Amino acid sequence: MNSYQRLWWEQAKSDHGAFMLLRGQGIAQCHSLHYLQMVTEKIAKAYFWRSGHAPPRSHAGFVQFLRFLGMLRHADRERTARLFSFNRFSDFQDWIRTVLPIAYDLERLAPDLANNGPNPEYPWPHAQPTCAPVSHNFDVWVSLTTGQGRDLMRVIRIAVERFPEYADT
Amino acid sequence: MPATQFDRDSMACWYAKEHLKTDPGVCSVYYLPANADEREIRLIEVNRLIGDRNDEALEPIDFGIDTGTENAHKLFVLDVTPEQWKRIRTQELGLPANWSLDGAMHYKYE
Repeated sequence: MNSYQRLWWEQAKSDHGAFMLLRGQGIAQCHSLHYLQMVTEKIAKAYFWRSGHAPPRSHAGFVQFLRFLGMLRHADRERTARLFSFNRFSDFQDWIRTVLPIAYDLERLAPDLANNGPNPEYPWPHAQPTCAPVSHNFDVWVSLTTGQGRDLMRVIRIAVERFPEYADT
Repeated sequence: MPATQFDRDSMACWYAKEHLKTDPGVCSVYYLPANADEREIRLIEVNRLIGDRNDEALEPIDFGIDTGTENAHKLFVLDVTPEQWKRIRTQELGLPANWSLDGAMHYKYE
């Protein structure tokens, strides 16, 4: 892990701690989702910094991060799958395919990517706001409370906590 | 408002039936009241869509619900594969600390 990765990982870990606290306390969905979106963006950026060059500033990245993990070089595949709790790399790839829709929804929570619609930070639409995040029921929250969504949250925790073990793959 | 107005067992039953109805992967739900705080609901959900896993994934996910109201409580859900559930029943695989199957109530898809 290089020094750039370490900085992004440290921030992702702290954001993840905040997310866990908010989820467990039952604070409004928007706050939990805001932190979860930031965790996923930052752990993706921590990973992409492995090249030593800055990844794009865009808030997108989590979907691409999952895709990269699903296409690792052969030498790293089985070890990485086990690290993420899967018995076989093919199981890990299948799992990534099934959770990508939720990952896309998480990515689109960032205000820049939300198309002037539901996001966890600012009232929308921008020009004539009619909704505030704090009183909105987010579809992605419903997805996260299913078995697959909870499973994704477990894997995100592993991605954060065990980052040094796969940061260079 | 007194804590007794919150009916943990009824709420757990509602969650179990709702999850069975809305989540196609869930085939059985077990409500584990033993050792749980009076405002804590512990569920094990046997899910056939989460795929084969090693034991790293055996982690309950907690949600705070209705915070600040008379019904405030915490929901913990432990998702397991059918294979993991078999191993839990035969005690080859342990539950999270302080979780117990004593007095567990079983709900299944009808």
